[in-house]
Amino acid sequence: MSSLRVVLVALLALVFFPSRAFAQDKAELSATVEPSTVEIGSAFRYQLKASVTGSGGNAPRSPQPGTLPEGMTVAGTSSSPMHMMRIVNGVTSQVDSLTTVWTVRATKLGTFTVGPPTVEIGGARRAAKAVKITVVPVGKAPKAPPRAQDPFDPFGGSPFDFFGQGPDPLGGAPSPFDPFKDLFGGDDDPRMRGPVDKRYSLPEPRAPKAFLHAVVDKPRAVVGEQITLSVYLYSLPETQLGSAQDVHVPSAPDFTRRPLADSGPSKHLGRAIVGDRAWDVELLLKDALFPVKTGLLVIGPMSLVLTNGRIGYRESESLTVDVGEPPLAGRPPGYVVGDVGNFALQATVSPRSATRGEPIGVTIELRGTGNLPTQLALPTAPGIEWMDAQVKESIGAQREEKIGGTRTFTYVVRADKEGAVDLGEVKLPYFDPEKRAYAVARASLGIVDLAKGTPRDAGVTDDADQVAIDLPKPRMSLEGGTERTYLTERRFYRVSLFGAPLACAIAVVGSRAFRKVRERQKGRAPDPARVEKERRAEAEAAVAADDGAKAVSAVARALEAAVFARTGVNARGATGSALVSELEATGVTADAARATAEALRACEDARFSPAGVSIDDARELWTRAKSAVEGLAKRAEGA
Amino acid sequence: MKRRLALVVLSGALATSSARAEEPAAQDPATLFREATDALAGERLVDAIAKLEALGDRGVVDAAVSFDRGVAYAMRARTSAGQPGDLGRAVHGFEEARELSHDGRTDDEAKRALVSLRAEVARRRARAGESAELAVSASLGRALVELASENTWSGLALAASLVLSVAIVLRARAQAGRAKVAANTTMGIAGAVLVATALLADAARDARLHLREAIVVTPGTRLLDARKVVLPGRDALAEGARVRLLDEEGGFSHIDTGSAEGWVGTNAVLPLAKRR
Repeated sequence: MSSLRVVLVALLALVFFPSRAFAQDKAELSATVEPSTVEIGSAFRYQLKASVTGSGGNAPRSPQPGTLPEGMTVAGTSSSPMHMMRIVNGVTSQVDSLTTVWTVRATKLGTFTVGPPTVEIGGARRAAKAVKITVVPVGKAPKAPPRAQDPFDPFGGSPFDFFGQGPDPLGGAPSPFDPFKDLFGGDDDPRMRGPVDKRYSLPEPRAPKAFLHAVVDKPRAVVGEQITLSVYLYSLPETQLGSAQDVHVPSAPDFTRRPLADSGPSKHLGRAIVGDRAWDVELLLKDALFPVKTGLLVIGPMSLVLTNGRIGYRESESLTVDVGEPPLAGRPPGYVVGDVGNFALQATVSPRSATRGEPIGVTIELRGTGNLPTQLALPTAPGIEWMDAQVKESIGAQREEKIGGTRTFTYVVRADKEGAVDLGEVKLPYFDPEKRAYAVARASLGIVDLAKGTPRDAGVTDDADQVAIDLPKPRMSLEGGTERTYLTERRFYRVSLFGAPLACAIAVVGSRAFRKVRERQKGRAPDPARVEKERRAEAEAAVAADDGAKAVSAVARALEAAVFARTGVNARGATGSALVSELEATGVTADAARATAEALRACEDARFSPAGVSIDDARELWTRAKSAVEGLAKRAEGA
Repeated sequence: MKRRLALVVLSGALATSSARAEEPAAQDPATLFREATDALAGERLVDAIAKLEALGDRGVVDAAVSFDRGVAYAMRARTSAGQPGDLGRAVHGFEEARELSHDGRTDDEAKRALVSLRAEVARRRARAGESAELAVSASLGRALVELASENTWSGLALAASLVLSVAIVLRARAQAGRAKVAANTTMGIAGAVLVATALLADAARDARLHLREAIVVTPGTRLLDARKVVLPGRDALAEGARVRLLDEEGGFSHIDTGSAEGWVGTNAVLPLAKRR
């Protein structure tokens, strides 16, 4: 019974659960990247191949790329399912396969693990192995060998691709005859095409997601030289920019401006590396600017508002151009600052034969590139009158690089002359910015034959337009640059201008002051201490000699000087008792006062003694005097 | 052989082509001036003007060049090929010649030509319904300074200084009363003259070094205010008017006409070269 149950269960299982049995079918999954090393900004093929061999009905489906590292974006996806049936020796087997290719753009340097990609087989999600991809800087990737054309590879070429180019999702141009080219989004997005262009690379982005960048082709120029201003819009590939609003073109008030690029939609230029990521670059504006003056001229920023993705207001840089004049060296006569470019002149005169005073047409065509002048210097000659010119021009951008074209001046000339009249030559000196040199474009007008006719002003008396200027004859030789000297620039001028009177005044005042000082010094009382010292020295000298009378006189003077110097009492002429009283009044002791008075009296007696005085007496007196002075000195110390 | 023939034909065609460009020959100022005077004598006025202007561009500052430039522009103003601004540029040439020349005859002739040119400007302004009054009187100070040359003023100042010095010494040494009075009087007069002439010499020097003057060379030039808007109620500046340059900024020149101050385009005025 139990064995019967087992058999029944086995039969039911075979009938009702065939899928389980199919789950045992052989499934193969593989993931690859090609190439394994790519340049930053480039795309690579990330491919998942899944095949199921079995009884059929479990075809792989719903492929997923798995986890993509940061800096990698899927730019396009294509899937190709395939079903094959095989009968070998009467045994039928079926193969269901699915090949999915994701085009992935790498915008970050490094080695990354991509995936694993997954696919659903028989209701279960199966995963292939993850793959490695290495992203290197531009120019560092090894060159990939050309891929062999696989006739069974659904991506290897289109049967409609007659030129063998194929719908290469890595950047090759698709065939215009490829009917599949519109099937897969991304391949036709122009922003996903084109190689990285180093010309547009920048070290850092100026703003997230999208930014404006303005450049000029040269930081220095001369007046009239073309400067090309370009404004680019950089955006990350995954950014949807939307439409731009409130667009303001750069202001350039010191330049004349001509557009170099069409003012249509922006032009996609390719990709550029900014920082460490690839950005799409579009050209928004390309103008030729011609500076009209010298100096540091400013070009204002361009600004706009991008509405999608909350990008908002974006503004380019303000630029400065250093503008000077063309060099003076070699500047031809008649050169007008601003005539910069490369020009040629051609002139036609018609008719060549006319009657005096008849109008003659002169057409001068100015052709070239650069800042074409708006007027020409015409040759003048007596009797030849030039009417105002009619100007036509055909000037525009040439290959989006230079401004150029033709400007045609049509004049009417009246010659109030007869015979062969030379109309002269039109010259246009200009500065060639490429050669950094001057040149002169010329056009000879040639000779016209004028038959006899009526003079223009015959019988005309109207002098309303007559210019009556009394002119001198021109100078025929240079006057010469005699350097003029100026007294005010001489050093002596400033010094002598006020210095001389001032010096005289100072000298006069100084001499007067000196004289007064001397006079004052003469009238002033001598210093008592100095006088005492002098008198003492005289007395010492006198007593050392042998003249007693002179010695006594010297001693008396020395004593008087000492008394005056030490007490302020003038002892000359004072009597004995009065002198004593005066000395005592100054604080001198009575003994010292008496001794001093007696010494003075002794000196007086000796001086006026009829018998004279010996030198020995004089020396004794000097000894007494010194003793008395010492007494005064004690008083002074005691005081 | 055919190739050589083709080359010959090509070079001949190039040589005779009416449209050609060539490098200008380097010319020294004397040669250029001679060619300019030849062109002037032959009434090839455009050539003459171009060459005289080229001399100026090369930094040649000479009274004869300025004088002949004035003559050339004035001659062109008399012809039908006259350009707007020729009269102003002629005035500029003659005024500059007067500034630069040390020749009395040149000064006299330039002065006469200026009178004639300004009369013509006045006539044209009158015909256009504008004021024919051209002369703007200079300030009293400027008029005084321009009474004599800088060296004259400085020489007078030096002489006054010398007299003052002598008078100071005499005054100090004089004993007699009359001598003292004479010395005091001399000192007073010499001192006053010294101060006055020294100031005038200094003003003349300052004008020589710092005063920048220009001639209005564009007819119909109007004074603008600081916002570069035309000042209302004023006639256009007379072509050939002499103005004082005060400042330059962003393509505009700040000028003083003597009766008003304002701004004009830098191209409307041409600065005068000065003796240094």
